[in-house]
Amino acid sequence: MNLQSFMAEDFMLNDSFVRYCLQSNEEDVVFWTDWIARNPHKKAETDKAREWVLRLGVKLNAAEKLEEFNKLRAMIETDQVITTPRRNYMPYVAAAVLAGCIAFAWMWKKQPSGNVQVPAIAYKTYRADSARKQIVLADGTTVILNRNSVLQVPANYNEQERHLILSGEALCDVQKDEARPFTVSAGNTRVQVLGTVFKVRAYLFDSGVKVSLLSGKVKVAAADAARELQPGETLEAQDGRLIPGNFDVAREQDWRRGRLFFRDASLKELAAQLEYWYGIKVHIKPGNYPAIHFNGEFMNKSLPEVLASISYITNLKTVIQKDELFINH
Amino acid sequence: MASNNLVPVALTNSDKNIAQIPVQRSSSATGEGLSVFWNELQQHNEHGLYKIYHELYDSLYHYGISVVPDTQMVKEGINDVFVELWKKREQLIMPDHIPNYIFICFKRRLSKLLGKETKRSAKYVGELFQEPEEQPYEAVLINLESDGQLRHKMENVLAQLTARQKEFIRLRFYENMSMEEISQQTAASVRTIYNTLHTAIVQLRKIMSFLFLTLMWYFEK
Repeated sequence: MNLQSFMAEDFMLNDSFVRYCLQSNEEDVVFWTDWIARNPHKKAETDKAREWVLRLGVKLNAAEKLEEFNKLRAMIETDQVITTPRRNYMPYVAAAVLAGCIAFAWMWKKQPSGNVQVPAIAYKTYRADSARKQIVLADGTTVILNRNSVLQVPANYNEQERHLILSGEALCDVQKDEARPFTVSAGNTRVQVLGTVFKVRAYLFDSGVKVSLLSGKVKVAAADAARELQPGETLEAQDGRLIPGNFDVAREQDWRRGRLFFRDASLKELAAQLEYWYGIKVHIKPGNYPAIHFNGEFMNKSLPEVLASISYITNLKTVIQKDELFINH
Repeated sequence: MASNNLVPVALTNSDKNIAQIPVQRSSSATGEGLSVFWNELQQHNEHGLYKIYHELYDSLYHYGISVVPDTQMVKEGINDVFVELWKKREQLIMPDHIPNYIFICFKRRLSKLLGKETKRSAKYVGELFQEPEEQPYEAVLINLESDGQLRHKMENVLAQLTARQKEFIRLRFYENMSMEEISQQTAASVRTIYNTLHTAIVQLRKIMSFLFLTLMWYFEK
């Protein structure tokens, strides 16, 4: 079977290719995504073949399905947060004092050296453990909470002010409301906003807290300094100081859409991208690795799914221990 | 049966009689597999709902299109059903057969949406149905082309294919059967099926490039 001589009709009659079109088998998807990336001269034929597999099968393509799914999610998650509180981590009937104690206990455990203040009010806690989560708050602000992150929303959120407490990483699309200032704190760093889209990264394994501004205007305050940020800029708070920089806007947009993309990625790039994307510390075990050129595209996939695909293509071994990822050959 | 109750708490016997399961053979969606997700849904975990959605989406879409040649209406109908399931999650009883149950809800939804449409335009007059009728595969393919010129071309090309060619195309791509399964069902050899399909698709290619160019043009816009 020489794939180089395949025309559209040959691809259409290949079972593995059909499974790739229908996205019904992860290995076939990985194989063909990679093959097409390495054989761009065949892309016209494979595109044609895929179009026809879906047309004759009377199916929506992946992008159309995702669009529909996102509509559903928007309807369900809005309804849920506004009308019924989540029950996963906070007992429904718990008194405010008890809830306060739980929040306090959690903060104590997470930040033993920080200046912890006992919160006098109840918090609703959102956790994104294994997969990212989208949250719509009472004022219409949406927060994409990355994997391995925790967000605390005070019960009086949106009354006089809007304040969130973050550990991990979150992208906030803030509803404009000048009467109620919006702030996010992560450790000792505080971000204050009007209506904007920005991202805060504050994982415990990172050296500092990083704020990236996608649109609008924010003010970042660390222990010893405060600064305003322009769209496209990033500020990293380290030891009370603020270090300015820029970020890749296209990359953040991909992140927002849930599109994880590798083009000809080396081992180092692979590791960096996974650490950035999934909020997990990645270690590469020392050794002699063969050269790696990984291609692939993932839409809203979990870390284990992506790791399985990468291992299948590159023969790298991966293992997660104590929420850190180790790559081995 | 009144269609105003979109997501009934439990099915009546008359509902069970009209139920058919058009769940595709490729789908892993068996009733038992989905019950885990159903439990998650009832425990207020939206991911349970999402998993059921992904499992059944293709089958529901497939069926919807064969009844109503309107992709927008079908997509809306599917999402409506799942939003409704989420809203009523506390009252729902685990159905005997989950795909079957959701399928009936979807049928009712389509029937309701079609009812509205009929009032607005005369397009679907005579299609106000008790039990929606599935159109043959060939008609579905033709109706899916919204552009008049393409529709005409599709019709012409399909008319040139033999009944056997069309049957194999339907089984392979629409029913998603493997070559071996088609062989068992039709008593033709795998080689014959492959060759017949190959010739048919080459013939389809006559309009392929034309359709493809049009599509590219839509994207450029």
